Amino acid sequence: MHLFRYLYLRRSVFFTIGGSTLLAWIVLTAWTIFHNHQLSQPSRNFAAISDATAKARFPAGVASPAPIEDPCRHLYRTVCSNTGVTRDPTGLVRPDIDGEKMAIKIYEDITRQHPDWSSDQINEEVVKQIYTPAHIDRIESAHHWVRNAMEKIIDSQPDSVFNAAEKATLKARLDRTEIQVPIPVSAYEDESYLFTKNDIFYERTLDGRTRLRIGGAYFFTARSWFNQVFTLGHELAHSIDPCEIRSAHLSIPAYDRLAACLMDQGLVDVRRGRSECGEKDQLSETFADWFAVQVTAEALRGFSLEFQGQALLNATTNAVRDLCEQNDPDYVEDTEFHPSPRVRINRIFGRNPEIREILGCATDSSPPTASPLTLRAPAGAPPSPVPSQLKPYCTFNYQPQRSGI
Amino acid sequence: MNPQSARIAFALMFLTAGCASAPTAVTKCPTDPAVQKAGSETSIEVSYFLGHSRRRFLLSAHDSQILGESYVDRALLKKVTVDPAHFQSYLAKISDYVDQKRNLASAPTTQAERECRAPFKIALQQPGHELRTVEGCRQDEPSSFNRLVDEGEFLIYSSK
Repeated sequence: MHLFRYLYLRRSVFFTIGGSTLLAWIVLTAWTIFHNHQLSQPSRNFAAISDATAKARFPAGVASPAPIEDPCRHLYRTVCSNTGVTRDPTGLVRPDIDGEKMAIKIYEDITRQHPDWSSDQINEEVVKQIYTPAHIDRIESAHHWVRNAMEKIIDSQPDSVFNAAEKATLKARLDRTEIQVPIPVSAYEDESYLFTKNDIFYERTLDGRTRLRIGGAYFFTARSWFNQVFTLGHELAHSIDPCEIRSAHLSIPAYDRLAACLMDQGLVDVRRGRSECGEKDQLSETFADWFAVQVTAEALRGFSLEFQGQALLNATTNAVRDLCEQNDPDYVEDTEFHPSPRVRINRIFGRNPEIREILGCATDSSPPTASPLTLRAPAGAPPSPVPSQLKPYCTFNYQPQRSGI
Repeated sequence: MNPQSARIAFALMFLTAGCASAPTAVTKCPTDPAVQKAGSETSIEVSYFLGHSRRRFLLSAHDSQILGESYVDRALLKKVTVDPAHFQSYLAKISDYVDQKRNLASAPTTQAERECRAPFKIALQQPGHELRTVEGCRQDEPSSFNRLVDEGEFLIYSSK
């Protein structure tokens, strides 16, 4: 019936419009298709990491509902209000559990098809189907990009922050931290249950080697470049976090200044029973977030040159949406080592001046811009915080304010 | 915090964290056979932290059936019926491990254990026995504990 109506309408068009109008219509249609095709192509900068999702048609504003909150005021609500799939032009992010279920389904299908196989044979096949060359290339290229971005951030610090030896030490630690995938399968022999898990994590082994390991479900959960950048940025930052530096018996004065700022601003919860780099200490996790935000800002800045509006907001959302609280009224987030999700998204991520600038929010040095994102604030909403209301964002150059004389 | 109190705090954390992070949520926990059915039936509960998530799987005997459940944080990933013969074989391995670990429990706590970021806990309930629990740190014994997790999850994911 629908097909009939469609054909009927098309026939009506041909019969009722004149020749020149018809020609104009054809040209216009062809241009629209071409233009949409152009829009759908990822930026050259992102072509290498784009996947099938990115190649799909993605006009701004189509994939996800428009934000109902002003991201400059309520970034957490903007990021966490969508509990389903969020797409940006480089890929999607879906709820963690969905990715794990997809990985488990692969596992189940293989065991059903090969009931006589041993667990080693099944693992071999699971790895073959999950850790595909395309998936590995993508995560390795993200790792490579993130490491370079982190090294640039270190190099760009003035001598008053890091001297040449400190820069060399930090960069060497980043370089030494390998990304380890289970090829061959025996590489994860001690943790083969990771094939169906969503986690990416940093580890220092007993013999002192450092590495990132990748749970197989992550490939299904997060295809967005921005999520990969934030996640890998966070994990790689652990290789140079204050506790790892301390564990290596190194001392970097700029780290002490930054740590003081993170504590002064409540981004590290200074609470009873806290032992630095031990129990109830959030320092290393806050540091890892803080560094990952800068790397993510770099990625978003490049992206914002070509994409705006909903596409940019979705990219920003995808970077950190897996930090949101679980959609469960009884769930209480573990805050022993991590700041709360609201602190991580609103304050560590959302108050970074570069992120604010990209989103068109007011910063210390600039007023809010007329970005499509800020224009979506509900009518009648109070204006976004002015710069003077925001505490200065923590840097390695932090100087604590002294009270008294 | 001294090592002993750290261990107590850790144990308390898992008693609630195994099914929920807040004591008030315990009554809504989907299952917790190791606690709810102490002394009556056989059950194995394995909990561990991986990256930022809390993992847990349960194997419990109900009449003639063995039920397997796998959770990430509080979300149920899979619920299946497990082959009894495979369960018995796994139970024997868990029991050996728990006994071995409990015998070593009085060993001095290392610095690494005090700063454990990847803790785990195993709770084993068998008829006629008290609830036996052991805790540890994944990074301190990667092969033994991880192998048990591998086998336990394989048991669940390869079952219908």
